Amino acid sequence: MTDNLENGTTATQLQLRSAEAITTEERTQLQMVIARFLRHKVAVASLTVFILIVLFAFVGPLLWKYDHNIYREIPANQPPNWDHPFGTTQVGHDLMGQVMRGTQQTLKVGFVVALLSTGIGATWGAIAGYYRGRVDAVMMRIVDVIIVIPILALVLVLAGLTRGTTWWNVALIIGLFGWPSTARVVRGMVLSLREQEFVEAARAMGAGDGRIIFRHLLPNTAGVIIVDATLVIATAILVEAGLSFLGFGIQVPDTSLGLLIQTAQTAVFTRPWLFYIPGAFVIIIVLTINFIGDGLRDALDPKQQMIRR
Amino acid sequence: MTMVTDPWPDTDLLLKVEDLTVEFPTDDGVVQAVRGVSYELRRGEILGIVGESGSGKSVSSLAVMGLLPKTAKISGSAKLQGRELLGLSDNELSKIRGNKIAMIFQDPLTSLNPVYTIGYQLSEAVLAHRDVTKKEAWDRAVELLDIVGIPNPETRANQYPHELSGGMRQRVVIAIAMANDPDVIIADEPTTALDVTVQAQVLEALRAAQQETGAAMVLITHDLGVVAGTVDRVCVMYAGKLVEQGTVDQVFYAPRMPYTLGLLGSLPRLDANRAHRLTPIVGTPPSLVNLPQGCPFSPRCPIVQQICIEQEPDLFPVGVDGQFAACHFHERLIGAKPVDLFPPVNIDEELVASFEAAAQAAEAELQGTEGTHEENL
Amino acid sequence: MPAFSIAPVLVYVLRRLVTTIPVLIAATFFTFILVDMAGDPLLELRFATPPVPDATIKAREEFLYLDRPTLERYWLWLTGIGDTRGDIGILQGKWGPSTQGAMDIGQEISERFMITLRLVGAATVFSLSLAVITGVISAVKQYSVVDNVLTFFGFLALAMPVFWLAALIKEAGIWANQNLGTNFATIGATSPLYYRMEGWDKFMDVVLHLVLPTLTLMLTGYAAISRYQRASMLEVLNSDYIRLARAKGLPNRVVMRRHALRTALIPVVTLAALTVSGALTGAVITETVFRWRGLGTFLTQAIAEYDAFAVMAFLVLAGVLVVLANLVADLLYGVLDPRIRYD
Repeated sequence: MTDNLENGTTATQLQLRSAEAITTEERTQLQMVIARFLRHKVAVASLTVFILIVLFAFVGPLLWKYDHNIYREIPANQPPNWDHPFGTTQVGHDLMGQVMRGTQQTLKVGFVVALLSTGIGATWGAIAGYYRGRVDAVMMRIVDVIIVIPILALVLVLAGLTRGTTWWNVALIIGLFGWPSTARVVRGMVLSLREQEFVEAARAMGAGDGRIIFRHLLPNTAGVIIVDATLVIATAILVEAGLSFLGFGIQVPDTSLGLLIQTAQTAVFTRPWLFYIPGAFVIIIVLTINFIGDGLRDALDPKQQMIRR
Repeated sequence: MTMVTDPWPDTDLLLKVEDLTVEFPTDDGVVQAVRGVSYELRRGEILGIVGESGSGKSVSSLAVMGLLPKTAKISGSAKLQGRELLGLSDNELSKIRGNKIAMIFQDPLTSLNPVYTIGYQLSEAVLAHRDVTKKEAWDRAVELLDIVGIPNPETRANQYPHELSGGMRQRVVIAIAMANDPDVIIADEPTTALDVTVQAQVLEALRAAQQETGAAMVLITHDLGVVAGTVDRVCVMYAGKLVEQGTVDQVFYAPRMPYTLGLLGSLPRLDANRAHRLTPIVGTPPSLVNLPQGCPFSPRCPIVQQICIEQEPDLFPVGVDGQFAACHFHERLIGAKPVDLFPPVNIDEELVASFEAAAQAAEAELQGTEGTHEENL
Repeated sequence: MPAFSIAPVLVYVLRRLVTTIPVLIAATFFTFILVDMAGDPLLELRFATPPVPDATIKAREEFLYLDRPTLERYWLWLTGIGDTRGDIGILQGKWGPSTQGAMDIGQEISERFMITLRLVGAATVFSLSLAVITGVISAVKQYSVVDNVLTFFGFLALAMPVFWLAALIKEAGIWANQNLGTNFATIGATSPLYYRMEGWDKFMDVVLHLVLPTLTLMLTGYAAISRYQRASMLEVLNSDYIRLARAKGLPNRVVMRRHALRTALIPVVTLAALTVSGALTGAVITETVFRWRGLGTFLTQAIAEYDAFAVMAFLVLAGVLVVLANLVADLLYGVLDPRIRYD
């Protein structure tokens, strides 16, 4: 590099060349990550199941004849049968229509929270880790403040604010408080990354703080952030379910998996399908997301698969 | 056995390793880490095992100690004073480990448990094999620290590993190895992780340990410099096999295997004149998964022939007493120098030129400050 | 053993507490604003039919200190300086008036706290123990059938919504009572006749009420720590000092107990605070399912009634608990790991 500079190569040429190097490098790395992920059989199976569930929740309602509302022609208290594969409720819901809608709302909450919370958390952590000193102290203190309080309590309080809640409100509320753990992890990584030569090099080339943070530091934490995001989705889905269960989440006439379980909790023995089917959906969604996250972690962190001496 | 025999007869032959093979099944296939290694270790002897990292030198000695993970498939034989070690239960082995045969590991920074004092960790080694009181074990620990050259051993014994420097910690590990006067000490890269200045001290401690216990030693290293000054006989390992074996003088001055020659050629030497060029071996060691047939060094070998690709050579006696080499053409290597086989590459010349220019400049500057300016240096 | 002096530890504890107080106060300010925004507790009263006289509404406003602006109300809640009846000011140990009739927040919350503490304490102890045991077994038998089964159950437990599991366990308890002759209590923290019981009966009553909720909280809480324990144990098992301990000739069980477990437990200690926080969150839901009059129902009720000072009381209590758990964890860490120094 220095040789080239001395030989009169312009900075732009150099940048072009290094950019080229980076993209080719990334592609091979991505291929390696995919290869390693595919080796993780449970994760691959989980991804398949998860995609099927996403299709069920988002494409299913377009094909299925009932949605989550009450219909007079639906017979009450039917166990699963051909007309109603998941059975029906006492007041005339088709459970499959309800589960489709509930899964959809639950997933939407999960995705929005993941975007919001990892976005805020990563930016927050990167800024704190990059500037260190006083900025870091203040920002991390704020993180401490939020972490001190059990998240469900915080979210509960805020959910009280928006009674008659929609999935969007629920997602916003959870997303606003889910980020501190992400911030801590990213800050830790940035603290060590910022000492590395490529940051020095970027600064020497005249890159500003913002550019260094968003173009050089954050992309290097991508692996951790992606794995963290899967955890966030899983937690968000469970918190949403808990909120709905306590009556502070998504409200009737809309529905969510948490709400469906809440309605069915006294029917475990009398109408078990109402209780087990939505519960199974929550469990399978969270389970597959966690396994996908596990596979991603192994794929992104080759150290974990190395055979020790 | 009906006869009561001394389980540890006082033989001259301490350790006999025969056809030792270690394989690790992995996702990508079977890693053949060690492929039929045989060597002997006699009383009072220091045997060096030399090779690049990944050549199987550490794995082979861990296999002898029974310290490999359970996934490892080990076959062959390793006899300590005539008694087979391979296949013993972990419980039986634990009575031999640290007692008859001890091991020193590479990284002193991680070899000691951070939550116990070094005195505790040392006396633990004593207590494992001797029926003494804790107090006696502690005194022995302090004595051992003194032997390996740690100042203020009484104070040091009460300290935790993080309070000691790397060199000192390695001396503690050596003290642990000699705690029970073992017959064999295996030292796995004992100086690699240390500063050059500390290396000499640690080697000194090793020598003290050997003299104190009268143990024979296996010294595993990739540092030919350490080998030259310390050991009696050398084994060179490549891709899980011994490729050359002999005394230090035989292997260093009359190597009969191209790989050994290459290793020597890539070693910077102070005694050589300026014209001596480093001759690197081009390429990298083969992957130990699904090795092709033929000599594993053949892809990098400058004198490779058809037969080398088809057939892997055994360790032949080369006609000189006690020297063996695994090369079909070992006879052609009589009197060969590294430069005869491995050409110095271009980059080498540039580097040398730049170093020389820098040296000249420095010299000129030095003379300039002294006031005698010479134009043509 | 090196001389161990208590002075630096005390200094450390004091410094930690001093730096924690601003964090706690900031947290209360932040949540106070949120709670205050949450809604008007007198909304129903204001729009009641037939209309309630203005004087009544004004009296209620005054009673709840709603006649003052938010910031002043926070200051009042924190310090009690400038109150009218001497019933507010958390720093003076006064919790403020409640919207829920004549409820005394301080008395109510301390009663309920003792009930919840029982559950949270039992659940923390059991889930930590279960986590350590399963984590260690998983690590020692890495990639074996046992490890895979334990790992799968761990992931399953992580994926289960607390209330779903709670409802399931509750129904299973009822089923067992009916068919197996067991005597698990499924409703409440104690039976209605608790106050007439004595000694052993009293104790057994508490235990029988605790079993099912504790089981719920234990199963939902242990898995994350178990995974962590497994990773920590694996790291230790693969470490050089374990190899050296084995090379010394120590028997396997000594290596495992003295070197592996002792060292692998250290990082898990830091999770104790997380466990308490998780158990508190879980308790909110578990108590709802099992109809315990504990902190969980206290909170949901307070939210439903727009009872700002009651919600604040819960948050302060939860915050203090988590902070204390954190402090204890850090101190334990220092005791267990000689590399940590208090300076």
